[in-house]
Amino acid sequence: MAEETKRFYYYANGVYLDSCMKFPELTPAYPSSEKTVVKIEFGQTPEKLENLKAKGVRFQAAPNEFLLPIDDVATFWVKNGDHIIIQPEPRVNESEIRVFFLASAMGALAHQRRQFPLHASAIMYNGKAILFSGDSGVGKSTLAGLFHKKGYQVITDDISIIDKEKNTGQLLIEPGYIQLKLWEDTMNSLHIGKKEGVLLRPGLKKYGYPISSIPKKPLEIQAIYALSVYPGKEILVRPLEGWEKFRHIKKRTFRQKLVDPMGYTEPHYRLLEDICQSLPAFQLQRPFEEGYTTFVEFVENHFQTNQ
Amino acid sequence: MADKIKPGSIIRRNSEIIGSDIDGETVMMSVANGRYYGINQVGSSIWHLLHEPMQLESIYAALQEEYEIDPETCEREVLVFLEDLMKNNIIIVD
Repeated sequence: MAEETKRFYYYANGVYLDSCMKFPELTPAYPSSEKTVVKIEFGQTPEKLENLKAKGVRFQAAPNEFLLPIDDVATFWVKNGDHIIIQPEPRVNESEIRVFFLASAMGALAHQRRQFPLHASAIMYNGKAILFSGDSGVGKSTLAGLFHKKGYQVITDDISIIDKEKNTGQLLIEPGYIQLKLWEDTMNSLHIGKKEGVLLRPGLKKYGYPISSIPKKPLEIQAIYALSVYPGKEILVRPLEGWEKFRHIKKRTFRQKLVDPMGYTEPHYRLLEDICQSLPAFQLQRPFEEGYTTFVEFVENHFQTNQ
Repeated sequence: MADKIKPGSIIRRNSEIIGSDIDGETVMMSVANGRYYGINQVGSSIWHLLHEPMQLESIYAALQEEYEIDPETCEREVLVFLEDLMKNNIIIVD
């Protein structure tokens, strides 16, 4: 039944991927024995999940299962934290499949693997990770791009996968993909030519910009910065604590709605609790009018003095 | 299980609720429905007292000592609070 086709091997978000598709956005790597291998295959996906617990406009969730049909692109079926089946629509471009795969399918996979996917980008400073979390459009990727320009290594963009080290119980961030997702105007302000990036979807002025390398191993986390934009004059930064910190991090969980129907309420909460108890967090507000040059210097100065 | 708090009531934690201390504040979450609650200092003290089931009067006594307030105010305010916790299924009254 299954025809033998070429396989591609990668490492991302703390797992090895054994894939039917080529992913230029991922770090090539052959599976090593101590980590799980996630199998990615083309195949038939169901219309409806058995044991369905939740249905959104665009997804279905059941214990250990997630189904996501995207019109004119593909249906993604993520199962048991180690298997993703893709059913492409006719005439779809592989690059479009990859966009949804890397965000939505990999995010659901992280939940199934009891990892914590947080809406955040991350850069490396002194061997540790600085995370920038926040809603779409607040500048997570832009900030990562600016630090990248300054010579900092990017760890991940858009989704940060937080994991617990098996033996020590320490919280670590897993390296993500070797690309930044940038809007056209951000590319312009970073002086990156359009030719250096790849258009993510037709009609969307967002580009995948390849970055040379990301760390090979998971890293300790120094701090989480909760980004927002506000109509004031000054850049504001203050510690986020207790209930407020909890609420922020919970709200920025990638697809939080999947947690309960997939059956991970308690382990997810325990991870969230651990993140809130062990990691310092700051609220960081950028005035609407503030240019990025001063902002980046401000942020850099803050994480250098708050080590 | 009772639906009202009365003198002599025994009050206990709902085992489906997990409470966490985060930077000195208590956050609670229901493993049954995923809902979460932030509670104030008094609520947090009550939650800590209830690591084992407790009679209403003992809760009053412990809180009066902790917060140095007069018995009448304490009882009035604590009762309102307990009723709220009961309504949200955080505590169970026997």
